[in-house]
Amino acid sequence: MKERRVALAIIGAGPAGLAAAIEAAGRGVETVVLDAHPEPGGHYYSLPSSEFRLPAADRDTAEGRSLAEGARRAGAALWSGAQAWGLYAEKQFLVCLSSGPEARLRADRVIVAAGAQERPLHCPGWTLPGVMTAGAALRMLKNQMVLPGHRFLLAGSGPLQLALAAHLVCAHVELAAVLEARSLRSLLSAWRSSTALLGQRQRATLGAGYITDIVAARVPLRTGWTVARVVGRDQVEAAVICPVDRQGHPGRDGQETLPVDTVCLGHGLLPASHLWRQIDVDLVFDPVQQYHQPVRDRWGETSQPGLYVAGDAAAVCGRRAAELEGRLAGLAAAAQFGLLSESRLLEQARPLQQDVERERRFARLLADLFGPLPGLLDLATDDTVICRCENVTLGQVKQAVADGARSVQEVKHQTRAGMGWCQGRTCAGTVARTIAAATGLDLAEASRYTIRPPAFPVPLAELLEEDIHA
Amino acid sequence: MDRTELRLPQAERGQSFDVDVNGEPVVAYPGETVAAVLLAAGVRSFNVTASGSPRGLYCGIGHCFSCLVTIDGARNQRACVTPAQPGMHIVIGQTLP
Repeated sequence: MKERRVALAIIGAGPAGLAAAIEAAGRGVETVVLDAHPEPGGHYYSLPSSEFRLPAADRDTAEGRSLAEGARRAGAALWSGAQAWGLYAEKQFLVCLSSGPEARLRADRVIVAAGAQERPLHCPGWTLPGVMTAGAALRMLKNQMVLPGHRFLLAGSGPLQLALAAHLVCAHVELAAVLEARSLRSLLSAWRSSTALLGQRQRATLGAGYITDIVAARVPLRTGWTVARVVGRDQVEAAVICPVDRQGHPGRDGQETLPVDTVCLGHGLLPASHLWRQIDVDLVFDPVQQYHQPVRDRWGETSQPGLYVAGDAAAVCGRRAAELEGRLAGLAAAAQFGLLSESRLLEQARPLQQDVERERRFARLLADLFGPLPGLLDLATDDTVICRCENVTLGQVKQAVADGARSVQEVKHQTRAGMGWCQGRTCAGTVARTIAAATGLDLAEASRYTIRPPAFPVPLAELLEEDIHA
Repeated sequence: MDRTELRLPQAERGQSFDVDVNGEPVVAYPGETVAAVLLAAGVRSFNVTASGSPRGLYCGIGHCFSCLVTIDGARNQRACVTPAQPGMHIVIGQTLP
């Protein structure tokens, strides 16, 4: 088994990972950044393929490219197309890779900067080809420059789908409607009363620009609406939409059917936690966002010495917070290797820590505005698939709960939900909320499940090469 | 507007090449993933579950494994993170284990 020793391994080449690499490698730390995708930049930037020539790069693209270039110039090795599937805390850390230049990395310190994934919406028909996450559509548009369909419906909550809508309008695609599940009244009241908007003029302008684009293209932007179900035989043929109340409960009246071939769902993001959760670090449950976070010090170091988590992989706070947290982790790692004095570390970190606090305040505002709505759970019927890998339905999950299952782990044992390809990334949240709704159990308790390697399936042939006594 | 060309014209692409999808030639460009090649050709359904339901691109970032196809004889490859290569043999519509 090919193995390489390195001082610092950074998992993920998005804003957090690249910023960490700039700070650490720039101070002389031997650094490898690995990323599963062909292009560095992560999902926020979704940089266009380097094989495409573009007349002019927009500001985001220029920013993403300059981060990647900065990491390279700082001396970090960028391994694109390398999928990390295992993380073990031994004397050093062992990072297991698939399809990278080496199969194993032994690192003294690890920064996990694996980003986020989308929070799914389990409505009838959500597994049909043509239903995808807002992020999938954005990535197809920005990185591949391909339209993933002809006639779109966007349904969700939060700013991501507004960004997607603006991109689709720009590409002159038919966009039937953009549905925001939150009511206009609840959005305005939270927005007006917030001081977290201070210093966020650029963001507010960007958001207003998206809405202006959508309205100017005469696309209906409807608040307090969601997609009730998606209809089609082999792929999406139509979507049925319905109004929802302030808690997200679907109304019985007022349903409309829209003839679309593509439905993009954007209900907020969840940390991509399947790597750092393989190590037994202290966790804290965020009741608003409804996920577990690692307990971290101000540098991003977890309760496992030498293991840092930076950016959305720990708690979803967006691209700017991710970059700042990456810088802090990179600086702290450089200091631990003796390449930065304690006083210089504190001096350099101070402005970053102020900025990261401002970003976290803004992220909390977004979480309050667009956090998960409990009523949307009611969209699924007993025959709606919850675990799309193992085809486990809501009815089967409820039966497992009736039979005594009280955690995601126990539902998994009884039904195989969460046991398939994606290892519960897509179903665990909804399973936990179903348990909590049925039993009154605390959501943190219901969310319990053990995450083990591999985080991604590994071909048996790769494992058979392994010398387990190495 | 109902456009048939799904590739955005703003990008200047390299020399096109063919991949083989279930025995038919399909056009691809350097830098495209297998998922992009299939979607640009109007193909939405990539595989079928054991219970018979079709699946296609869902998360687009390599997390959900909904877009699995067979590539050059290797089964269950993620179309969304695999770059297309000239002459690649892609099989879609297979039933997942």
